[in-house]
Amino acid sequence: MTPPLLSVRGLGVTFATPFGPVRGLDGADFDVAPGEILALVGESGSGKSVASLAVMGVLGPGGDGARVQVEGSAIWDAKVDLLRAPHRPGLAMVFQEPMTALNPVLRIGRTIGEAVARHDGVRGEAVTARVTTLLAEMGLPDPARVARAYPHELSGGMRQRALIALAMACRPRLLIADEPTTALDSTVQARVLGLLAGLRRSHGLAMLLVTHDFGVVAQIADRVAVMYGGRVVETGPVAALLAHPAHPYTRALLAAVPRLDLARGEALPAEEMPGTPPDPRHPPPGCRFHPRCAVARPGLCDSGPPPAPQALGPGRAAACHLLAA
Amino acid sequence: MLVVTFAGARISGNPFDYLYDDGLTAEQRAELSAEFGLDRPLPAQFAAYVGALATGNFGVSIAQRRPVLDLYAEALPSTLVLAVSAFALTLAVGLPLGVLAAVRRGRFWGGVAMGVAFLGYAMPHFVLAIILVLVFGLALSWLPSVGGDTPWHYVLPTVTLAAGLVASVVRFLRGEMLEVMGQDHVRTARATGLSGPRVLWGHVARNAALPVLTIVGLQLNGLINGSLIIETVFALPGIGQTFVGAVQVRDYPVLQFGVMAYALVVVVINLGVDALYAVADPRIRRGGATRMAEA
Repeated sequence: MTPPLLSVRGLGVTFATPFGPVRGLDGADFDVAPGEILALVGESGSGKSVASLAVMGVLGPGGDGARVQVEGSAIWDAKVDLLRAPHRPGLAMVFQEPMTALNPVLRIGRTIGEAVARHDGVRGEAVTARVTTLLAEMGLPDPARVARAYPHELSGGMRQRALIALAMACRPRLLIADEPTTALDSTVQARVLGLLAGLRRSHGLAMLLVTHDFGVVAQIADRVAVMYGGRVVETGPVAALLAHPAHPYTRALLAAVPRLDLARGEALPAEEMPGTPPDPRHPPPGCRFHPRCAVARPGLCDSGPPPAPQALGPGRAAACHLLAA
Repeated sequence: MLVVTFAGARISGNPFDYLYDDGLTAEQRAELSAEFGLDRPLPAQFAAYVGALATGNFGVSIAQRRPVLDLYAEALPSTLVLAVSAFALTLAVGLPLGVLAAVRRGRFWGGVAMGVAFLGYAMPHFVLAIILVLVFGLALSWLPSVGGDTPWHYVLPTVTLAAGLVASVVRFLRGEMLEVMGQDHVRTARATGLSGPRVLWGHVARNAALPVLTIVGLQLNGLINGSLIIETVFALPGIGQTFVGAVQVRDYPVLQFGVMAYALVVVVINLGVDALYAVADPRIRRGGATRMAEA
């Protein structure tokens, strides 16, 4: 087996809030192999975005206890500061909100050009040429004109492509994408996913894809890591995990996906998973999912933390008391 | 505007009462009034005033018997030097201090920057002027405090005038910087591996300075008001001096021109600030590239 491109072990993040410290991420483990697309899925508040931002080093202070390695060398530094971002060679990020993720007073070409100058060490004409090439590669028609445009002059889909061009200007081997298609309407969404899949093929790019959309997962990801309460509860190859979810949370999450083949009003999915995600200020004792779990066993699931993930087959693992029992 | 200055000047008193302490005989007064047209009914005086304005004639000073325009033209350089140097000093001190206050917020140097800002904000011009004169003019004798003969004469007035402006630049810039720092595009810039200073100056400070510059532009109005007081305190031979002198003796033509010119300057500044918005923020610019459609 090839060594992972990105290896994350025990990644924790604590936010200082007016209500006291909040544990947004509580020891997450996952790996991304070279050329692989790993989808991080989970509900809002599960820690999936926090994990991606922490790996990228753009979260601000609060990270702890982690061993994060890119190609075997540690990149983690707990003392990340807002304006002293550690440079993470080989990593680039595509953000969720294309409306606000680009500097509104700079032309697209200027923003991307800065990254090109930084990563290619070139100046002047060479920067302009590379920017145009990048924009063209993203499938943007008339790339020279897009380079001269300001972000507000572009549509959402074009802005997202420009953001992907900006990330590609960093010549990454791993692209971290935080809900890259959530803000887009569905036809544009499909095209942006197609673009990402194409980049993976043409550049051998690995991706860490943060999403809550199983449609996106099924379409583009190779493996899935399901997160709940700041931890990864199940991992596995997409097809196997979607077909036979092992963890009760994964089952409940999949059951909550709206389906077109059910009659109106039939089997409302909300029944599958009552309640809300745990309050990270007061996590429940034992397994974090047990208060909402349909199959939780009193005395077992509420007594101690779940065991380390149990191997369940090729590349599959889940952290659940019931699987260990 | 014309009516207000015209009427206001006339309600407040008669120039001859102020110019001639010993009093005038009835004949002398009538003679002077006739010379300056003040014996005619007010509507006729007003019509004559407006008519003269339309032909570019701004009248003659009653006190000095010289064209009003000449008086102001002589005083203008002094005021311009003061205003421009105060503005330059404001930017030179205010912008770095504002950035410092934002980057080092909650720490020692951030506190120092904000302390300087609040001091400048809380201190009225005339108090600061007097303190500076006492310390640097009288006690230390480093700088001249009265008159406008050498460049050194402008140091204390410039510092006084800039103090309040520096304070507002620091406060606004700090607020804007903190807001911009939290914006998504700054995170993007950091994620592309740009160095800290590059992100700070190229993305945060750049975006934050634009609204601050427009605010500073608007405060030029305050700078003009301040120059009235400051020129008087430091006896600088500028426009403020000319104007205040005219108020004291009710020199109608000088007064009217002064108010009118200030009003014009305020309008021009506001217009300039609006234009600056468009230059600074491409989202406000009109007639630029039209929105591109999803292809």
